[in-house]
Amino acid sequence: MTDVRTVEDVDSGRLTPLDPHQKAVLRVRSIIAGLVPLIILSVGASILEREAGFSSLWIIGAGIFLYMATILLLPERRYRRWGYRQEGQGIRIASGLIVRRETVVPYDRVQHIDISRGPIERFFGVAMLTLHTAGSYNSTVDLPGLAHEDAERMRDEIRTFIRHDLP
Amino acid sequence: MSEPPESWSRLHPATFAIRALEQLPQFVLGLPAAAYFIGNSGIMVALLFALVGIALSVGLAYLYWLRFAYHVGEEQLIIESGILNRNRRTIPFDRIQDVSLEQKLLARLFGVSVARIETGGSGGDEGELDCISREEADRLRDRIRAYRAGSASETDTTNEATEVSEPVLYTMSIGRLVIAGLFNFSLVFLAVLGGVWQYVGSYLPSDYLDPRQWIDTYGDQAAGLMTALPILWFALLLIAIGAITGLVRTIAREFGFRLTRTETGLRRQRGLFTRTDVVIPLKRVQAVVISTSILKRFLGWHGMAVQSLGTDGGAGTNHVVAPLAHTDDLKPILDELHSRPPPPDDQFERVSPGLIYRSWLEDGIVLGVVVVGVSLFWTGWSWLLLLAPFLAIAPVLQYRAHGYCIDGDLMFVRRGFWRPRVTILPLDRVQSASLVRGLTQRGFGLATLAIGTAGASLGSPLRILDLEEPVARRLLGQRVCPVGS
Repeated sequence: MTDVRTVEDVDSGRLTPLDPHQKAVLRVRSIIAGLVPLIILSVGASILEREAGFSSLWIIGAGIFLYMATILLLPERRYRRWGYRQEGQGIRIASGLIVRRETVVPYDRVQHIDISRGPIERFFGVAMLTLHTAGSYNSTVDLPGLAHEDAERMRDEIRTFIRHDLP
Repeated sequence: MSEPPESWSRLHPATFAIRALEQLPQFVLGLPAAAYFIGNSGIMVALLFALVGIALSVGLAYLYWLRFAYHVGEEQLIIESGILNRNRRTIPFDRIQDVSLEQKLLARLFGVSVARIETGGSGGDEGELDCISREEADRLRDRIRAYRAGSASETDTTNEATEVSEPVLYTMSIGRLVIAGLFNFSLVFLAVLGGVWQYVGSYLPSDYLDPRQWIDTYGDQAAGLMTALPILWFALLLIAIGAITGLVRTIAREFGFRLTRTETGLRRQRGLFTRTDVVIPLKRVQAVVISTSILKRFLGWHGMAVQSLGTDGGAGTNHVVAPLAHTDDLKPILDELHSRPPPPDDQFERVSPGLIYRSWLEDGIVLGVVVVGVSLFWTGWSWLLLLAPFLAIAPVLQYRAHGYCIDGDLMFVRRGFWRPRVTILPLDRVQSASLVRGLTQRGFGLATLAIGTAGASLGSPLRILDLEEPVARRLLGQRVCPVGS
């Protein structure tokens, strides 16, 4: 039996980290996701300045600061929290920056498996593996940021365990 | 149609009469609305519209009835339906677990019931015969059971035998119904009254609802009435209304409650006006929940429900199998479910006392923020501090009521001080599990274990809060999801 007292995360080397390209995927997503709020903030602030007449420069400055932080710092930290480990009969997936989550899915409880790749993920050659279970909690368990060939290999491995009838 | 046409059955002729009658209240209630739009002089026009509408719906119901046919074959049930788009569905008997029946009040008058085909699939509308006669439903049931028993030929002879040979697991006497009704004290009646008021009110002259008018007219009388005695009477009246509402609702739902063991599962019949007859295949039962309230427990009463895959007339996937029972009454049902009664409270493992400290910290922060926020607008903010004792006690009670116990292949989790409940989960029904650690939990070294079960609706997911992290890890890795090599 393994020692359960050690912290199971990527730093301790007990979990496999995601493909490093996933950092770039997360970064591009942050850039796109932050753009709309930033534009709304800028437009709102400039309207406020024209109508109410108080300086909005610091609001926009704070917005840009936050935006840069989400692009430069957050993807790295979020990436580091992800990790997985394939065990004999199941898979363990860790994630979450603030609320840490470690999910164990026994392979024989997987109903079906998806591999999905958005345009950004295709560009960086990664894929997301999604495991569907019959439970209403954890009904889908995502493992993003796998190298595409790894994802396909894992899908094929897990597929041999799938049972077609519910217990 | 591949089968000879004479072997196809139609739904009971009462079907379209019931459908037409069910439409009627809509038209009657719609009349004032129609009259309102057309104007006071147009009552006759509105009536005409309503009559045309009723005729149309009767016609449609008749067409639907005409175009709906089913065939009970040797190995399969075939349903053909649709007025314009024909739809043919074949359900092999292999896949049918059982047939559930539901009789609404109207259907009972005509002696027919809705038959729902329960298949092994996880939910969804698999097949519905709305409505067929009771005899026809029994014929269908027997045919399926006989097929499953491997003797498709002898269908009619086993009819009486199967009815008698179902062992009764639980029934409800009138006395129990009344007790259950009193526990279901409910003031929902007032909400219904409010709803009706709103509906009716919109058709009344607008000044009728103007509060100022009311005060002008009745203000003095109202002030005279506002003495202590009438308030007491009013409270007593509310209590009486609540008790009667609870009684009526409970008796309407649970009257004639009867739980029997069939070949494949449990069969539940209940209802005063709407009579339902549901079969819960044992294969699909995922977990059992025994719930009570602090008052009920003091008097030794519990309720039991099973969480199962599939549909219960669309009402979710939990089936009450015993609304009100003593522990001894639950034993035979649990035996059939291959389960056991929960062990006594002192056998349960407690979670970490850190639950209390974490709750105090979180609640304290929330209370502090709220108090600071409110104090900006309201000078009486100090009243909010009266909440503090409750927030201080609640986590202690929660901690004392919470615990888990693993006994062989079963896991028991108890939770809740005011409404204690025990979930009994066979460990081989676990679909997945997560260890969740929030910000404050990490500070205290705690972890919550959340367990995903299939068909869950009974307070899902099953959570064991605030375990010491190593304990939670061991529980997850060794007992709940032992996936390690």
